[in-house]
Amino acid sequence: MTRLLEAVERGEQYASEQLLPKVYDELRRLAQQRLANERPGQTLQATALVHEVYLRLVGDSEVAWASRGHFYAAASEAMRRILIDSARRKMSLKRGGEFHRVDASDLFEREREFDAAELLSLDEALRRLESEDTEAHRVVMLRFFGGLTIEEAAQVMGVSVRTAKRNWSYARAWLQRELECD
Amino acid sequence: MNAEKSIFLNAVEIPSGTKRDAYLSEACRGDPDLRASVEALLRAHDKTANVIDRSPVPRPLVDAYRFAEPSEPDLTRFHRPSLDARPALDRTGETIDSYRLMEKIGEGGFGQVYVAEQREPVRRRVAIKLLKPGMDSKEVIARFEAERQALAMMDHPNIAKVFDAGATPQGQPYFVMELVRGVPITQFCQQQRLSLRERLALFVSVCHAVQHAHQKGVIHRDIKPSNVLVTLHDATPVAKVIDFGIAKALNEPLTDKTIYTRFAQFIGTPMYMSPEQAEMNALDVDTRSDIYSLGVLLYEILVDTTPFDEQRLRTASFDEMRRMIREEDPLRPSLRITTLHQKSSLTMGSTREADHRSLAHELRGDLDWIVMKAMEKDRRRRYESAGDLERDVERYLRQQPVVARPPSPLYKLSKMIRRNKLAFVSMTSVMLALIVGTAVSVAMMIEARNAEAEARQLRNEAIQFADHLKEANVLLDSARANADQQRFAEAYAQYTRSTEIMPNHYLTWSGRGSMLARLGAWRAAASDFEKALDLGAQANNPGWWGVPHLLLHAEKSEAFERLADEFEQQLRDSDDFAQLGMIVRSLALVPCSSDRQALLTRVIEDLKGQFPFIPDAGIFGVGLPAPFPQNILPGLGIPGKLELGRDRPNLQGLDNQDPIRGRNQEWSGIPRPFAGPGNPQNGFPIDDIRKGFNRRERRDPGDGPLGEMRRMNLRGFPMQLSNYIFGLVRYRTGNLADAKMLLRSVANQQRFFASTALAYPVLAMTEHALGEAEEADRYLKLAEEIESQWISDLLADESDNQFISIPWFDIIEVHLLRQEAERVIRGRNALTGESTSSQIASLLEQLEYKVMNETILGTSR
Repeated sequence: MTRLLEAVERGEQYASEQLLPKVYDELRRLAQQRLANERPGQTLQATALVHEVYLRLVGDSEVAWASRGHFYAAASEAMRRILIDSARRKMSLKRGGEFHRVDASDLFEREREFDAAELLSLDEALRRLESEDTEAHRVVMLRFFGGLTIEEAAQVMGVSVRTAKRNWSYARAWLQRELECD
Repeated sequence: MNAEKSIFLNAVEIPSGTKRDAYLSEACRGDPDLRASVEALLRAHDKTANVIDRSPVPRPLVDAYRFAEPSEPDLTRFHRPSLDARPALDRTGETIDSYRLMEKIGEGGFGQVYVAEQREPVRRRVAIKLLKPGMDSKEVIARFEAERQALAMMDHPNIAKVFDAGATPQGQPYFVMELVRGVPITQFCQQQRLSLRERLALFVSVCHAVQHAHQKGVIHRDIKPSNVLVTLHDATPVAKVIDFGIAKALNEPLTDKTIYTRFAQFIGTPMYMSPEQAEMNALDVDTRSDIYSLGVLLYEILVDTTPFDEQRLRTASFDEMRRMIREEDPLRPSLRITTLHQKSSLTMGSTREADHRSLAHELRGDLDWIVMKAMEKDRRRRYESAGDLERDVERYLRQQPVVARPPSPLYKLSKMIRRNKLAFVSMTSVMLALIVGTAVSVAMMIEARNAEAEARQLRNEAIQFADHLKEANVLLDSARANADQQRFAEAYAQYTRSTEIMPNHYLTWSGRGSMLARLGAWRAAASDFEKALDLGAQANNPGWWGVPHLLLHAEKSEAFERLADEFEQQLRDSDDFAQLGMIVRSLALVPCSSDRQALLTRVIEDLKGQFPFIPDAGIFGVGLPAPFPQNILPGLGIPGKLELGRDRPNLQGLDNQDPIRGRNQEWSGIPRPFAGPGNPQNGFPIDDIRKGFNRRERRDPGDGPLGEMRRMNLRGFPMQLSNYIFGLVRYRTGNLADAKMLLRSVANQQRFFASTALAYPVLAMTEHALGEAEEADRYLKLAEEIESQWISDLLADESDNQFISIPWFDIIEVHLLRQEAERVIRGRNALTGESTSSQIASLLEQLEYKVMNETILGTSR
């Protein structure tokens, strides 16, 4: 895994392609396993999961900050997909009415009832933001889906905390304006 | 960077206002579209509820798993500031009874805590709390022993057991407890940066533990973070409440001095102490004091800070501190977060700004009100039980509507007014003007304090409230007048309309309730009074006489208990004896707890002491008058046409004796309607009552002040009633011999009084308890006969006069006591089948139906 991250860092295409599925699978697997073991009503923390996945895949080995960045970027994206899948299913259930299948993504919903439609339109808006301003988009991904703090996101992105804050502030206002226009 | 972004980022750093406008005009010169889009961004920026602030990843967790190692919980659980500068001797290694002290784990003003090894009868590790020398160990241990049985009943995973108490040879008391190594709950939440839901889940388990203890009859009295420890069991946090039973054992007789030392020594901070505990009325601590402390705990768990300023509370003078606890309302949790954040934002970056905002957003509304309801100054407005509090928190977690609500403007106002020592009882127009004025100034005060927008809303509410209040009071006056004229349908409609306009105005409910009660719709009346009670009505005037009866009749035992608590309070607090008799009767309507028994006994003893010739039970029977001062009359004697002084009714044929209606034309001076409570116009039929007195009362009362007092009492006090009340109390407190003597003297009077009927069922139970089966049965039958007669008469009354000469609450009292007597004497099956009892029950239902559908709605006749 460490090698994989380093390969991503060196810009090797194959590595980037392998990273995301690996993280995604691990995240789902872990979530599923936790869900089976926990007593009902207990909640899991998405962030804790992301960090645990990191520990499992990367371990204690020395990894450059930039390489960690790739991991968190991948984890954020994996988390986004899990949540969006869940939101889509929820929306289709609303229309279809099939009984809810228990799935790994459910445990994120338990943590915070997030309105599925709201999440989907946010995702749309995020995609538009990505095409306008990649930096602002990245900071949102790391923070919103990856659960990182501003400081951590800044480290991962290799920018100053002030820059990260400014990007966050802009993205926040931009998304809000975008969603209000919808 | 695109132009929009850089202009936005620059503008954000300029405080909004003319400067920012100037910058925007400069930067967007000639491009109105650009300016519009930047302004839209700025508006979006200022919104507090931004969609990405509510990340699907819970807020506090954003920081929880940092790249650093999570910190181990530290085990310094007993760290409390010690006020005693001298360090106490470390006694590790010593053996006390069968415990060997292994390691000192805590020290505070109260003494020291050790881990100890117990050798016998089981080998285990325990915690020993060794109190400072100087307390009376015998007393402490005696108080502990008194509660030991209850403590032993507690078995709950979230309660640390207290095993034993004892004293060292030097006379130092000690407690032996389950060893809990953990950290105070608030510290745990902060250290582990628990999410809101995790915090609430922990709190729910604490409520559960407290509810369990309350059900076993144990009140903690000292719930605070250092008594709620959290340990990790397989990485799952588990809360344990420690020190159950300790506070009570330590409870010295409270005086100003001892409570002050208690604050200083044992409690350290009065932060968690309920207003009634701060009042130092030691008698008056109940489970609701624990609810208050749980509220403070929840506040701190949510906000990470205490509701009152710790420093201020600590440095305040003793009286000032008590005043703060009694009167100052803490900021709501969400507002507290906001102000805390405003203070710290100068030094902190804006990193956590969004976190703070979203936390404030999360707390605003339901959680705010849950905390504030638990922390109500007036305990009647708190949650009824720890279970209720727990359920409300769970409802929040499940996103269901919670029970807690923001206080109504009326309540806020009335609280303010009460604080200013103004009576808020009658709403004359003068009062109204005053209130409108107060409403506006209240709004002004709040405006000065809070955010402007909230104040504006409150002011509007206050003004609207004043308008509504005026309208409601006009309706209330008119309803009363209509009821006086026996236009009940109109009166009812007006009362009902007033409840709709001012649903939070308790007078609208109690007004309608009074009318319904007098007419005989007792269940409906009970609901109205219950509502008034929920709204904080003060049951300290004659309008509330008989309400306990109504509540019991309608099986609202929870509301009855609340009212009874308030009545107890009045017995204790007030030196106004006017209500005394009625209160004593109400409290003794049902079997009493030992505390209540003690209270009632004390009241009766007090009366004897205060009025030297209230005779002992032994001479009651020979008919000495009970010398009460005049002002006690309205309490014991019933205003209105009570006791007719007629001959005993022939129970087989009541046709010409009619004890119930008593259309006694000699009473021409007495207004007929509204016999019963709450009507100040009621005259007191002194002469008629006097007729009912036995001959002994007519002897010469003598001279001097004693003679004066005697004369006064001879004029008006119905001795039968006082004998009945005293007899009832004697029965409730288990003094059967006295009860029998007193009640027999009432039941076997030559003349028939309402109190004669009241005495029958109580006497039946007394005889039963004494093993006199025949006598018991005889009096029970008498009670049944008179009761069914009364109620059939009520039901058959087709005349214009809806009122009967026996106050309605006397009838309910006979009914309740007779039911109890049936259960006691004949067992449960007495209440089923074709018994007299079930016939009476059905008559009562018919009466209620008749009043609601014919009298009030006027559907027939």
